[in-house]
Amino acid sequence: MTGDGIARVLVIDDESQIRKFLRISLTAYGYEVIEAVRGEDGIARCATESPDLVILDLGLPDLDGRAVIARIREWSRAPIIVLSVRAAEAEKVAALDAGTDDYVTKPFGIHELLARVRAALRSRREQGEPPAVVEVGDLVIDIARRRVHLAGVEIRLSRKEFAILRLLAQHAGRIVTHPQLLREVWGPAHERETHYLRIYIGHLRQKLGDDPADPRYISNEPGVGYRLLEADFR
Amino acid sequence: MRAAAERVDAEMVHYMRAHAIAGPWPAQDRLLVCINESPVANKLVRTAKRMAERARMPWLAVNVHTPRHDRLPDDAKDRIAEALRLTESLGGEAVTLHAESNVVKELLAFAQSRNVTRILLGRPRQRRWSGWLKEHVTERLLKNPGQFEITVVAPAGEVSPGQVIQASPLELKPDFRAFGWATLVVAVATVISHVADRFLPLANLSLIFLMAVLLVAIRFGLWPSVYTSLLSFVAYNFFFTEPHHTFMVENQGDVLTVVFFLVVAVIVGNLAARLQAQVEAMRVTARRTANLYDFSRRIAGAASLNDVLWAAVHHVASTLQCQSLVLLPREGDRLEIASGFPPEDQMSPTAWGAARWAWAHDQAAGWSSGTLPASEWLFLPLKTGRGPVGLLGVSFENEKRQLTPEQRHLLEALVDQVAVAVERTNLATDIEEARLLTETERLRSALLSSVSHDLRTPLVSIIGSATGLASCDGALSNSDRAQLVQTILEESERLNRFVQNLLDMTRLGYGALQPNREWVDLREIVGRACKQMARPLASLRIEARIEDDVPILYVDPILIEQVLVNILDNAGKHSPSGGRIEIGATLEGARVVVKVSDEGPGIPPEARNSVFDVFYRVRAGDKQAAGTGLGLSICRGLIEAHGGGIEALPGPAGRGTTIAFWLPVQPVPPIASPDEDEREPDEGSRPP
Repeated sequence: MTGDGIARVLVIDDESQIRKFLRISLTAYGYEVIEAVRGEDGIARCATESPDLVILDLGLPDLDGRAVIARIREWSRAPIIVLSVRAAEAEKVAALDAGTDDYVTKPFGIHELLARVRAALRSRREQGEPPAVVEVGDLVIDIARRRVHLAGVEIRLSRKEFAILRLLAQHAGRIVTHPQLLREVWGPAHERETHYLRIYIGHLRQKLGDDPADPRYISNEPGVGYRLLEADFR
Repeated sequence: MRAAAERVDAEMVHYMRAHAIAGPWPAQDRLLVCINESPVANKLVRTAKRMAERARMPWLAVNVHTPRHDRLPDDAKDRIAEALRLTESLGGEAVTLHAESNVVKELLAFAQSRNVTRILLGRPRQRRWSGWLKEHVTERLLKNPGQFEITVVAPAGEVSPGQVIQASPLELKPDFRAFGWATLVVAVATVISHVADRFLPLANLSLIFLMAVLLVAIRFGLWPSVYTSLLSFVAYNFFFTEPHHTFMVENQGDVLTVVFFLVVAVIVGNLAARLQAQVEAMRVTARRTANLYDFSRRIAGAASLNDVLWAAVHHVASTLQCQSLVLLPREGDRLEIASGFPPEDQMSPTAWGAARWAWAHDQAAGWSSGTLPASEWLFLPLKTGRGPVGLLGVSFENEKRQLTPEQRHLLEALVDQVAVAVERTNLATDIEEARLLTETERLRSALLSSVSHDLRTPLVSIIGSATGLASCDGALSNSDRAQLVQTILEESERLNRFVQNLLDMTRLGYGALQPNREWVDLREIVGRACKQMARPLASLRIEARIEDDVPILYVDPILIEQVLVNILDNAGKHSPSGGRIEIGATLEGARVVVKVSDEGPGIPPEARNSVFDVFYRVRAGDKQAAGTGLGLSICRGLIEAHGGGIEALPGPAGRGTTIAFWLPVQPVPPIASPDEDEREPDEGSRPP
C-alpha cells in the first residue's frame, strides 16, 4: 500500500468497456487504478508499478490466465482477484490454487467486487499476524482461545467444526476452496470428499442458527468453496 | 441431336406399342445379341457392348429358353445366367424369351417388336456329322435375315473342342435295375398274352407287349424301353407266332411289329425323359421360389437395418446349413461385420483379404471362387442399382464340399434379395435423415426468431432507459432516475439468464453437459435461486418449505440452481401481480421431489407434456409474455442428466400450475474419521 493510504489496483482486462467501468467505480471508491490490456503488459505493469491488488480477467487473448498468475506470483505477493464466467468452476479452483486470493463471476455487481477487494486488501494488511478475534455481526470467533460466542452465548463446537470455522475466520470475507478446507481439516487424502464438508457445515450452521437458504455467516459457492460472510457483504 | 433422336425413338417405341405396329422403324439403331450356353457368351456380350458403344446405341441381350434348356448341364445354365447378369451390369437389357421349337421365329418377332436393327450372333461351332441334320440358329437367321442387319462374330479365344457342351441325350440315368424291371414286365406281358391267346386273335396280342413297352418307357426312359421292345419282340416271336417256340420269322408283318415296338419305345422314352426332366426342374424351381418367398416375407417385416441383416444371415445360414455374415462399409470404405449367424465378430486375415477384394472389384471372392480360394469364407457382393451396398459371406464347416448348383442359384437369388432389402433400409434411413434435417432446419429458424426476440426485448428497455438517463438528466426526478437504473439492471439480468440458457441448451444439444456433481444441501440451492430471482419476482411472495428429512444430494448445484431459476422465471411470468409462489421439497422413498406452484392460469392437460418441448412457446406464437420456451426444456435436459424427471401438474387446489421434478437420493458415503463427539474445542481451558 502506498504511503498516503490509497491502494493501487491494477486491472488486466482486454475489454475496454469493462476496464472503463472498473476505473470509474474503483476511483469513485477511493482506489487508484492502473490499466493493462494484455497479459504480458499486465505482468510488466505489475513489476513496474507494484500495485497493492491485481484484478485479472482469466480470458485474455494473449496469455492463459493461469500463466499470468504464475508469473506474477514469482515475485509479487499482491492479492489477485480473477474475473471468470459461470460453468468454469474448475478454472476458478485452479486459479485459486495457483495463488489467487479470490474471484468474481462475470457478470458481477460493483458491490460484490468491492467487498472482495476490501477483504483481499485487509488480508494483506494483516499478513504475518492473523487476527486473534474475528467478529461477524453477532458471531465472535476467538481463535487464540478457541471459543465461539453468538450474541454473547457460547457455542459448543466439536474439534472439526471449530477447525473449519477457524479456517474460514482467518480468511474472513474471502473464499476458501473445498480442497483447501478438506486438506487442512482432514488431511490431503480427503481432498475430494465434499460430503464431509456438507455434513459438518450443516452442523455448524445449525449451531450458529444460520439458514442455509439465506446464510448470514457461512456462504457456499457451488463448485468452489465456502466464505465467511462479512457484515458488509451478505 | 442425338438426345433428340433418342427422345423421338422412345416416343416412337411407345407409339408402336400403343398401336400394335410391327417395326422396325429405324429411327435409332438398337443392337440385339443372341446368347446361349456357349462358354464364349460373356465375350459375345462384351463384344456387343463395345459395338453398341461405338455406334452409340442401346443394346439388349437375348437368350431363348427352349425345352432343351432344362436338360442342359448346370454349368451351362450358369453361363447363360452369368451372361445375362453381365449384360445388366454393363448397361444392356437382358431378356429371356420362351420358345417351343422355332427359336428363329421367336427371335425375329421379338427383334421386330423392340425396334432392333442389328443382330449380333456368335459363329456356330464346327460340327462333325450332325451338321447336315440340324441347322444352327445362326445359319437359319443368315438365310432369312428379314430387314435386319446380321453380324456374326467369332469372339477371340474360340472354344477348344474339349469344352464343347452338349445337351445331355434324352435319357434318364440308365440303371441296371430298370432293365431288371423291364425283363419282369415283359415276363408278365408274356403270361398275360398266354392267357389272352385263347380269346384274342394273335395280332391283338402285340398290343399287350406294346403296353409293356409304354410302361417301361414312361417309368425308365429310352434305353430300358428299347430293351423292352426288343425283348417283347423276342418273347412275342418265340411264344406266339408260327412256328411256335422258335425264333424264326415267317410272317413279314412280324418284322413290322419289331419296328413299331422300337419306334414307340424311342418316342415315348424321349417324351418321358423330357417330362421327368421338366418335372425335376420345376420341383427345384418351386423349392427355390418357396424359399425366396419365405425369405422375402421375413425381410419385408423387418424394419430396421439390423433386423433385415439378422433375418438375412439367419435365413442364409439355415437354408444352406452354413455360417453366414454380412459386411457393410462403415466410415467411408472400411468394411465391418454388420451381422452374422452364428454371431461372429472376427475373421482371418485371408478372409478379410477376400472380402476387400470382393468389395473393391464388385465380384465374388474367397472359397470356391476364382479369387483367393484359400479363404474359408466366400463373399458375394450385394449389388443394387446404386452400386454394391455390402457383402454377404458364407462359410461351410466342411471346406472340401462344393456348393451344389441348386445351392448356388439359391445363394445368388438370396444375395439379390438381401441387397434389395439393405438398399430399402438404407433408403428409409436416408429419408429419415432428410426428415430430421428438415426438422432441425425448422427448429433452427424457430431458435433464430426466438433468440432475436428474446435478446432484443431487454435491449430495447436497456437502451431506452440508458438514453433517458443520458439525455434528460436535468428533467428527471431522483425517483425516475432510480427507476430507469432499476430497469437497466433487471433487463440486464434477464439477458444474462437468457444467455445462460442458450449456453446450457447448446451444451445439452452437443451432449457435452456432464453434471459436475458434489454433495450439496438443497436448501442452499433454493436460497441461491430465490436470491437470483429476487428482483424479477419482487412483486410476488415466494415461500420455500424444505422438509427436515430431505438429505444432502449428490448433484451439480449450479445446474439445479439453473433449473429452479428457470421454473421460478416461468412461474413469475404467469403469476398475477402479488401472487404467491410456493417451493416445497419432500423426501419420497429414494427420491427428493421438489414442487414449484404458482397461481397463474394453469396449463391445459393436453399441453402439460409439451411445455417441456424445445420452443413450445415459439410454436404457440409470439403473443404471450416474453420468454423463449427454452427454459423448461432445458430444465428437463438438466434434470434428466441427473437421472431425475420433471412434469407439469395442476396447481394445489386446482389453481395454477405445479412444476414438479425429482432427483434420486444417493447414500451418503461414510466418513472415514468420525469427529469426536460434542465437546469443548479445548478441554484444557474449560472453565470449571
